[in-house]
Amino acid sequence: MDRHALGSWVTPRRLLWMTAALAALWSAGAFLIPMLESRGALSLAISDALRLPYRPVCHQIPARCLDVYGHEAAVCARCAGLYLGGTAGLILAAALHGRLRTPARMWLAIAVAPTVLDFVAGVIAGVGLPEMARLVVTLPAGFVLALFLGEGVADLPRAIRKAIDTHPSRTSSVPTST
Amino acid sequence: MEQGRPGMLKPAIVSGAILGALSGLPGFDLFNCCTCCSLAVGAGFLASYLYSRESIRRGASFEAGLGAAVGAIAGVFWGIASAIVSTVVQLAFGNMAMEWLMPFLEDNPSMPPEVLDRLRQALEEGVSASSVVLEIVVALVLGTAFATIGGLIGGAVFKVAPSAPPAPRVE
Repeated sequence: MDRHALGSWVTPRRLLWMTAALAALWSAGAFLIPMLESRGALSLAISDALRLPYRPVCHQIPARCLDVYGHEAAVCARCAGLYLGGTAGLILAAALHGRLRTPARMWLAIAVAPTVLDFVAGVIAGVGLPEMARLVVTLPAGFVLALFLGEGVADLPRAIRKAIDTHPSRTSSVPTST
Repeated sequence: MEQGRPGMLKPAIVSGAILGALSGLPGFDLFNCCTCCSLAVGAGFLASYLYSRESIRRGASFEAGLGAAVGAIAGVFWGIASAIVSTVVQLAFGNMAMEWLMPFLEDNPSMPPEVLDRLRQALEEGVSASSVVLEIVVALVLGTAFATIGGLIGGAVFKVAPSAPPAPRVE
């Protein structure tokens, strides 16, 4: 497939679906790992390897993770809420691409506020929500952030094409008539 | 009327360096492990905001997709600043955050003993050349990935529509 064919294949909608699929895979992995562990389907080494990609982005403290069939999820409840909300937002952005208007900035602040409050309360006063409540509180933040992310992702093919077309090496190669 | 796009480097360096340096400080690193690399996402978001302001000042447009580029560059500077500050702090004071956190983790009955052993071992080993290289690589990869996401979100939030061409003069 040459560059132009690839360029025309990567449409905003397809890119949105690909991003949503990646997000779904990442989110599902956090819950599938403990499910498979509970069935004895994973050896300790494989289980460790599967949990490894989640380690740099989450503390994975067992007490802060949701319990899935007696095993803790691969990420904490807050991250799980952000991922699940984000996946839902990206799926909606892909499904309704072209028909969905990006929400006003005010909704971003409203959606993120409960997560910020929970985090600040935990850091300053050492109090926090139970794990399931924490997951629910972070769902809107992930969802609304993903709607904005969806708009950015959908605009990527156009932005890349524009950057290539306006690159000096490309514009200078156009023959000029004398 | 558009005067040409502003440079991406300045907003990317400012946001990446400030938030990267913050995330290397003890205490602030909690933002990364407890809120999904929010300081790296924030670096991309802030870079998009600064770029959008500069675009408005110059009368240029700023589309959401362009936020990815601004964010990615900010992520590189975030990674470099984070790794430098974190290494300097560890060399000067040791791993203060881990030393502070260890008693709480040791008192936590749900903490697996093998994880505690690994943490104790890492604390005793301190800073080595390999740990610094690993930290730089991880910070660069994470910083670029998450700041690109932040840049895309910021691009959608702070986008600037292209200014309309001047209306033709009617004689």
